[in-house]
Amino acid sequence: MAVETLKKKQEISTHKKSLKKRLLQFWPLYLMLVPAIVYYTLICYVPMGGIILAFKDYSFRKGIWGSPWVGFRYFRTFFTSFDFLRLLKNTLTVGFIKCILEFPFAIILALLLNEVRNMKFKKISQTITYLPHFLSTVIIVTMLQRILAPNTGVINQIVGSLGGDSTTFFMMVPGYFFKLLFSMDLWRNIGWDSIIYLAAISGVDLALYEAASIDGCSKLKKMWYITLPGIRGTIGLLFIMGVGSMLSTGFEQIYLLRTPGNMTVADTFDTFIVRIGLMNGQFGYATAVGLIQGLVGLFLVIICNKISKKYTEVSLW
Amino acid sequence: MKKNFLKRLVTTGLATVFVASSLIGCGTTASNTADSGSSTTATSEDTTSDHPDTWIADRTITIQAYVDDIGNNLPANINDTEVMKELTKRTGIKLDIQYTPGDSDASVMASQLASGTIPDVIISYLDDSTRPEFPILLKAAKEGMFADLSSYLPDTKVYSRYLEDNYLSNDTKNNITFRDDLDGAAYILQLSIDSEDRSLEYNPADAYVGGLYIQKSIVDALGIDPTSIKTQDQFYDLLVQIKNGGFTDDNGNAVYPLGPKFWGGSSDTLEYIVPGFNWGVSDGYNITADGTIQHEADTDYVYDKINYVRKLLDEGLMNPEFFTMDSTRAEEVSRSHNSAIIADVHNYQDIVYESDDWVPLGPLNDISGDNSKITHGKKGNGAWAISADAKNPEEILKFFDYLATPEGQLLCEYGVEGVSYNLVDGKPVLTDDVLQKMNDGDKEDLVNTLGAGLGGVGCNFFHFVVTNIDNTGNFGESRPGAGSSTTYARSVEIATDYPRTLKLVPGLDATAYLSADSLTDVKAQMSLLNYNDMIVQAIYASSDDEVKSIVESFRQQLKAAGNDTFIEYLTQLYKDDSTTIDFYN
Repeated sequence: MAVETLKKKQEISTHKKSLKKRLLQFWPLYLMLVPAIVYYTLICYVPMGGIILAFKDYSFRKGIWGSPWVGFRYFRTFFTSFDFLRLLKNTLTVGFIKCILEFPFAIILALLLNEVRNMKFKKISQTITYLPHFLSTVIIVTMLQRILAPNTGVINQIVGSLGGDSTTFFMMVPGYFFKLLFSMDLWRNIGWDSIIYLAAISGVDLALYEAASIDGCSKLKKMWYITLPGIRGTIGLLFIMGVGSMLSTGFEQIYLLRTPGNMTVADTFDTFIVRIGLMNGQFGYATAVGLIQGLVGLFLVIICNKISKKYTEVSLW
Repeated sequence: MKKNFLKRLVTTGLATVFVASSLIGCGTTASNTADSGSSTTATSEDTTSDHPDTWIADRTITIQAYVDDIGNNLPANINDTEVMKELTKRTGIKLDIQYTPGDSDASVMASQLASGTIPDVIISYLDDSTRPEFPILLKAAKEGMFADLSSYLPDTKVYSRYLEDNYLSNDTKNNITFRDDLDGAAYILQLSIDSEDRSLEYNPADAYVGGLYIQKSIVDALGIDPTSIKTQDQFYDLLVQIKNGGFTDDNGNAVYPLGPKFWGGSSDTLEYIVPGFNWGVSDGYNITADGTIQHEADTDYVYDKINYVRKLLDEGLMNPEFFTMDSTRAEEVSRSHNSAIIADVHNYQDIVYESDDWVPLGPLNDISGDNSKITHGKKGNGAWAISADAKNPEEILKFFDYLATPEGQLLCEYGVEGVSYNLVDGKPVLTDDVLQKMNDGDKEDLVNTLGAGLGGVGCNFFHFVVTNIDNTGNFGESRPGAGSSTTYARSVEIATDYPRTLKLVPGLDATAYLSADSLTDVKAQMSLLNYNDMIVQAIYASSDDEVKSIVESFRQQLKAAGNDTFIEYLTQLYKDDSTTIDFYN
């Protein structure tokens, strides 16, 4: 009680002090903040000026600021283009898979790992689940191509040896694309994503578990009534941030999984931006599509944050 | 108190290290930039009297190559090679060649040009104006990123020929270098242009025989003449014969009658396996008998193509991964003889010239019932431009001009006399040592120490940047070592035994004209469509109804992209001059 009162007093006195005094008093802390401020300013905020390209006909020679204005031309072209609805549908589907469908799996893994008492087994399991995260997408897709090849791939050979049709060309069938993407992405990220939840779980007060044990609570109930509520804040924050990147589906994974057979579904805003921006040199158009993507992401984060704040009291701000 | 002081000291120390390391990072970059900037600066302070006549200036030219063939064969230090030392002695010029690998050379070029600054010279692939690099180069040229060389060209020894009538092809002259919309300026110069038009001369000594290749053992077993397979029906019958023949590969597995391209599955192999249905000879477009220009997608030929390949797939006559197999596996299935027929390879690929296992098949007849190879006249193989910010661009042009002279070409391609070749009856003959290394594929020494182009086997930069080429006239052989090297004897033998006939169809592919100013929006939409990819997608469709729906969807996309406007433009163009577009039936 006394400690809390002291803390409050300190807070009040700190707020009352002028910025100059606070700078003088805590200058080592402010100094440590400088690299972070410099980093975010230079790497994250200054390049944002490039957004202006979405409204300009970019000229190599005149640069971003000197190029002539074209207003909302690129936005009009994009919204009225033949590709827009297809791209939106594909992007939302991939975003849903990555942000919503995959989301609980890392939590489940963290909960399961938390219950493992054999430390050796736990460490081996963690290492095995983390490893795919360090493999490049190119390697993973190349492995997939080999595993799923018609006739010669492992999967088709197993199907064939069981008397089934071994000629299925999984990579060329649009119906398999989202399933493959989901499996590949989950396998790659589940271990890595579970780390943050494991860290949050380790912060849950052990006294709660002891009390629950005394009350005769089963492991499942402890997980449901103590662990999950204990990490609710972390889950909420990560979910809100994840929703923000729902339209950013990642380029390389989809680009590498793309074949002529599945290209109706394997084309999202990200691959479209690379195709028109880098391959066709239409930088303004690509920036406009990227801007739409960013704005929709920001809008989704604000909505989610509001809903979350209202119902769960967990929010980013 | 003491503890508090220590805490502060440690915190301060850490903070200082953070800040200092950030600043050091910035500082290093800056100094690097400054260094690299200085290396591009001209230091032309000529000239002293003991310089040779060929002397240009004492300076370093910085070159950015967007050509992977150059980047993959760059010496560790080009100025330390025998060729470059000699070149510097003669001209005073040193080179700093940069190459940035990326998803594609064209996208790297687009990114770097977009940054607004380029080194003294850029080099790109550019066979003709239909290449994906061209719109980017043209945009840069129109926006004044390149130096105008028109006033310097008349004073050059070799490049002045570009001003002669009929020296350059129509495409090079009217669409690339001397475009009307450039108001008399010349920014982009093509490379590797033959001194005389030999596009209709078939010379087995340097002919590339590409396309379908079949296993010789299968030809012998079936007792067929591979050159007699010309129609789509004959090709289908042959594939059935192979399937029923029970042929196996090196691992004892049944062969696929038709395997993918040697370098990896691709939809562009359609040109070799279904040329008889390829009505859209001009990059998808052609003209009907009544003079209507159409895209092939709007005709029934699109279904003929799709259904033919679907039949091959359904009957197990072609590898199901024909269009998608990665390069490593495609090479593997070719080398292990798993493919009875390779959809595309050529006589200068080791799998062909290192053994007698493979012979050319066909080629199949095209839509006109002829299997001649279509040529469009003279063409180049690359292009270069000088930055508008480069100092003394005339010196750079002089340097490239020197490389294009017979004397320069001899140095570029053969190296230094007495070191890598000797003159016999006035013609260069490579030394045994160099020939041996070429035969053994020992590139290390050829690239890093000698640095000569050697017809592309050595330092490719020097092979790429020459022009006004007449190898046989100047050096007595079609390429370095052709007269004495045993490596490519089989390649020449194939070209001799399986000669190709050539047919001239003047004009450019229709899509080259999408670069017209009035078609900017159409081009932007059209560039997102890929006709061959749509065909492959339809080939793998689960039903005929799905095929129809894919084709119909493409037709709608084509229309929505502005195909009607484009056809209107082409119709007018063709009406004014029918040699501008390479239509034929």
